Amino acid sequence: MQHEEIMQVKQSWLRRWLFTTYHKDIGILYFVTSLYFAFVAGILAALMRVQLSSPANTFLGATEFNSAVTAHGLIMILWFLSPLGVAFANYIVPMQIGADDLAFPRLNALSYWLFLISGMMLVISFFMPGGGFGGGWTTYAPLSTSQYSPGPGPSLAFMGFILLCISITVGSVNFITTILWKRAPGMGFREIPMFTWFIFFTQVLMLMAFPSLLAALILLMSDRLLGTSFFAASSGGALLWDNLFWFFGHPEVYVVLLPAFGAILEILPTFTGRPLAARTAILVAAGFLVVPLSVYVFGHHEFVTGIPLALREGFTITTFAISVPFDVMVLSMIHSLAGGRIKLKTPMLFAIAAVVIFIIGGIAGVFLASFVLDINLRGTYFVVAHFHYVMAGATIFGLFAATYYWLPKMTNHMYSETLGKLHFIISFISFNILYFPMFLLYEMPRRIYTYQASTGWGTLTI
Amino acid sequence: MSFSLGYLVSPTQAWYSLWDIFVYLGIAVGVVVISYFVYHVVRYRSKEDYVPTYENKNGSHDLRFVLVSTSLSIIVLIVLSIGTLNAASVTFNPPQSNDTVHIEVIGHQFYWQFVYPDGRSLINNLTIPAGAVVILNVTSQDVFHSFGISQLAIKIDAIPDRYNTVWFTVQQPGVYVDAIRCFELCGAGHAYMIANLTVVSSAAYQQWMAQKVSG
Repeated sequence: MQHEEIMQVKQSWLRRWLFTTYHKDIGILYFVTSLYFAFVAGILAALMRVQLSSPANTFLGATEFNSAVTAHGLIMILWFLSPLGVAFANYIVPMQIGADDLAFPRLNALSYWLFLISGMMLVISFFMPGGGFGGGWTTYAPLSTSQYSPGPGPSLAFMGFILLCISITVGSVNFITTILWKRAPGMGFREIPMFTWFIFFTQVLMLMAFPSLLAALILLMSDRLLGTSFFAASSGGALLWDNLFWFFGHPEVYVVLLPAFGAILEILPTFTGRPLAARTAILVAAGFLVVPLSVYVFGHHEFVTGIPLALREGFTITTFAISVPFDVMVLSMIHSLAGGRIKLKTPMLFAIAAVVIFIIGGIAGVFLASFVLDINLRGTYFVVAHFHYVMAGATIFGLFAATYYWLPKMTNHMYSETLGKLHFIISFISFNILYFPMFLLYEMPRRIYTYQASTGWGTLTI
Repeated sequence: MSFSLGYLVSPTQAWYSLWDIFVYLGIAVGVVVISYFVYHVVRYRSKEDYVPTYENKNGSHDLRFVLVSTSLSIIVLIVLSIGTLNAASVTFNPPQSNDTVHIEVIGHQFYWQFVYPDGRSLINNLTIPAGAVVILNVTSQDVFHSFGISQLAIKIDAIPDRYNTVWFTVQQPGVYVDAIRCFELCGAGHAYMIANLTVVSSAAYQQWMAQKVSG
């Protein structure tokens, strides 16, 4: 139903929002829900920061902290960052390609409701008897098996995770079909706007990555509920999970990043008054280099697991290689400013900051790509700094830019430029104060709930 | 650029040398690219009312610029690759030596067990002779742990039902308190899987090994 038709038919507010299949409504649902999850995971982060602010602190116990860090990671990556990108994808993509809705509107609604329900299952899992899962968002085996994490809590969390996989797989089929087959006449591939292109790349990556995770989770639930032993240590279970998870996990981080990049590439031309530089090169870099390569780099998460040396060398080469298309994209973004008349409005400020933060985080990524340098960085706060720079920094700032850019169109209300700039200054400064020192903390292990005063980590852990 | 020039070079030195290369290059690239960026933002700021003035005269500039930037990136990455492979030739090749010490490391929830060739076991204290080549065979009794000595740039995962090998050497005797930690979340006690590294003189180590122990 068209929006006008919906508004003319008198229906209750509840009926509209419960039963909508209209892409703009679903975009708004995703937007609001992902921000809710961000708030939940943000509170968890604040609790962790309080606990770590002084040595030998007793604000949170070990189990509570471990549950918090697990929930924080899962929710932020899978129930906030990615769905916020999907929110804009839902709202903007059909408009950009001249389609009246996605190819399968009811499946779109299904994706949303599965996303919401799966998130509630994850949150509720922590209130089950015995608590939730406390082994990190990476849910390594054998810690995740019922031998070491017994009880209904972790099982409920993993079931929620499975539902999210279904939500995303259904959604990716939907978006890919829409972008390939529901474009208005005259919109060839060359005319597709940058944001839609990047959503297309994101959805293709999702379709490639999530089946591996879904398979791993089904095997894990089978171990937990049916007594199978896929992830038992004696059958090589620990490394099996590692491989299955990271085959998904690495493309996943580009799934998180690319919508933000797509938004930035829309925002830059608007606020410079000139077209993007090297537009084709950007698309070739993202679509033909990043997307295929992203499934060939996952071994860089396993450099110290004892995989063969030749594989380690190979994964270093592919990971170094995947930095090249990002160099092309970032330098093209910079070049897209030349000769323009730059207006530093709030969306533009966030977009520029996102790129600067991405440069720093990306360089740190190259550090981690070396299978020798990774040795003393693996499992430490250097990694935490790196992924917060590229995920919490580049992606969130990119999506904030998208919010300031597109929300006025979605709500018919303009934001206050003064408040927007204030938001920007506070975010940018506090982000760097919080995360930059972590690059120096490469001797501090990750996910420890406390540390001794003698380590001297108290000063940098603010 | 080879590291093994007839004297014993450890993975520790190899790592810190490589770290220096990455840090210098990383800071240089970061400063150059971000300055280039900020320069463009400042130079092309709009000073009056919004009027687009860009004319697409130089479409071919784009291709040339892409090729130049890609080449520069690849050159930097080649330098980093060479550095990595050089460091790897030390890190993964323990030298042949008469006084090599083999120790088995077993990670548990939540402590480190060190098993010596004669069967004796130390908990949370790795004792080694100074100057000797130490080869650790690391595994876990239960879940995924990660054995790391940050000061020495040593790390290897402790995976159940699997042995991973790492070598290192320490010249200076002393007790390195809390040098050994666990670097993979393994449960509630993860923050407490901490062990000392005790480096004693060769003679003291021989003496200690000669004493009969009850394990």
